[in-house]
Amino acid sequence: MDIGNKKFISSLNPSQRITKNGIIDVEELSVFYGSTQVIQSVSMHIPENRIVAIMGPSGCGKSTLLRTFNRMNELIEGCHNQGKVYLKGQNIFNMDSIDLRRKVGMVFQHPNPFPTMSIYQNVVAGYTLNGAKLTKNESDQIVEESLKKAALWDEVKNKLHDKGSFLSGGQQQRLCIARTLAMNPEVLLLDEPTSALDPKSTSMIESLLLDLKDTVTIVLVTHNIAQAGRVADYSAFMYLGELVEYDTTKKMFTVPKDKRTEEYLTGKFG
Amino acid sequence: MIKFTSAKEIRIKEGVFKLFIYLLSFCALIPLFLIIFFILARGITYISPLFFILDSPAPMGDNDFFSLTSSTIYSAVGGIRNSFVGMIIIVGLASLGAIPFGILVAIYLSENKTTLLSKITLLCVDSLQGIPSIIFGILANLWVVLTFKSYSALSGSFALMIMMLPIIIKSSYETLVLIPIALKESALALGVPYSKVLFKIVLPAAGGGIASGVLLGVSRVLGETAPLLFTAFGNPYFSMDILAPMETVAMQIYKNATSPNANLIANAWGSSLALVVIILGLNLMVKPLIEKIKIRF
Repeated sequence: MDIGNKKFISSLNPSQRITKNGIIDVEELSVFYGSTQVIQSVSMHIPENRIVAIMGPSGCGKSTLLRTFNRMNELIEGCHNQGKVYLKGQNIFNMDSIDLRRKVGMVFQHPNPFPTMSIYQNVVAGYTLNGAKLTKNESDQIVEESLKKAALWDEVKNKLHDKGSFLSGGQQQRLCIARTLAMNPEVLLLDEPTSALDPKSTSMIESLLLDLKDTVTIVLVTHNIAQAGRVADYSAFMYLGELVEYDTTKKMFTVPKDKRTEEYLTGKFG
Repeated sequence: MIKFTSAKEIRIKEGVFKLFIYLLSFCALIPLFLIIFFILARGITYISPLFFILDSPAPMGDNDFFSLTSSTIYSAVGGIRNSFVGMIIIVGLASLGAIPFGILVAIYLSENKTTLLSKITLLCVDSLQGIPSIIFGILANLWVVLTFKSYSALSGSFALMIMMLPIIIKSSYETLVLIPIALKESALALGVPYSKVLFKIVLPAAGGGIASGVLLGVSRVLGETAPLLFTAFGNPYFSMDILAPMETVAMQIYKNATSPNANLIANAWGSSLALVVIILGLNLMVKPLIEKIKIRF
């Protein structure tokens, strides 16, 4: 994308921005588990360096949509897709899944640091397990930077060589974020990252996400409406595999266009 | 109105039940302690430091044996050097084959639970555990002894390897299926190749469970006699040649205990004590180590 074009986009108002190509573009994506269709021809654009929240009741396909962005669904037997997903204009289904996952990082619902590794080893795991040869200086730097980005450095700098599983749940989750950030991903996918955490850890992670959006695009799946309201620039509402509504968070929370969105946001179901 | 059982009645019933459980647990321990007590009582008189340096003794007339003084009796009783070294070689070789093979099969099974091959394999593994050990001896005799045209330690190792396989596969599999799928996914999400995920993340996380399975397998075959009778065959002399007959401690016990000579029977008692101590010691030493590396999810 040339500079002139970028200017054009930034001159758009926030609502128009998601009608243009972004860092991830989804075109008529349908996902099936066996013969059940769980995503019904979804199209959406995810703008760069913004936080996009995907909401919806359980089983609406929000996690499935998120897991399509780094092709984690391929691990599920009988799962297949139709339609296209582009990462910076490149069709992700034509990319090598290993390359794709290095660019599109993911953090899961339950914190899961690698249990046999220390905090330090966990952060550089993405490099060491990918066969990268790092000097001591390089890896020290990666560990410090990533932990600082994940707002965990001050808490663990004196026990970097302890096992990651000795940390509290919230710290473990930030360690997982640090581990993902260490790979310098372009997009960070978060699948209900705070649903297993206490309120204090949740608010720490939320403020962390707001700090991160300058460097990385964040797609957040959540069933916590308030959380989407607090952190997301854009919100998407999914229901029964369908993308019902996708707009700026402000607009969606104040003047939802669809009746189902309104009912969900006001707590009538979900 | 609904009438409850009186609290007093419940307390009495509970007390009786508890007593019953304690009593049964105690009964279950009796045979174990009797075995250890008898082996200790009979074997201890023949054990000396020489017991691990001397080989299995030559048969000796009972009159000569009983006229020996306590200082000369030890050389007549002999020791277990030949069979102890033989046991380490035979079981070591069997483990060398069975451990990597078993772990790889377990990985295949846990990674491909729904394929026909894995279902059949799991069924075979389960039934393999129930097959009498002598059958493995016959198979090894047929495949290895007849091919090499000689009894050998190697054929014994082969028989024991097949015996160990189902134990190692089953326990490794049970551990591997308990590893949360999210752990694997989070490694894959970092762009780590599948093989690295398996060998650097999943296997180390299952390390403790796999190690207990290996310990179980090794302890099981340490005491095996039947599959070795017509494979390793036995050898009262010291030998390190894996293509020649070799003895293990359990085989030495079997042979000497069934002999008519008092000095050989004495050797069998001593060997029994040594074998029990070796297996108990192995378990007592290795178990705390396994607990250390075990990860609970």
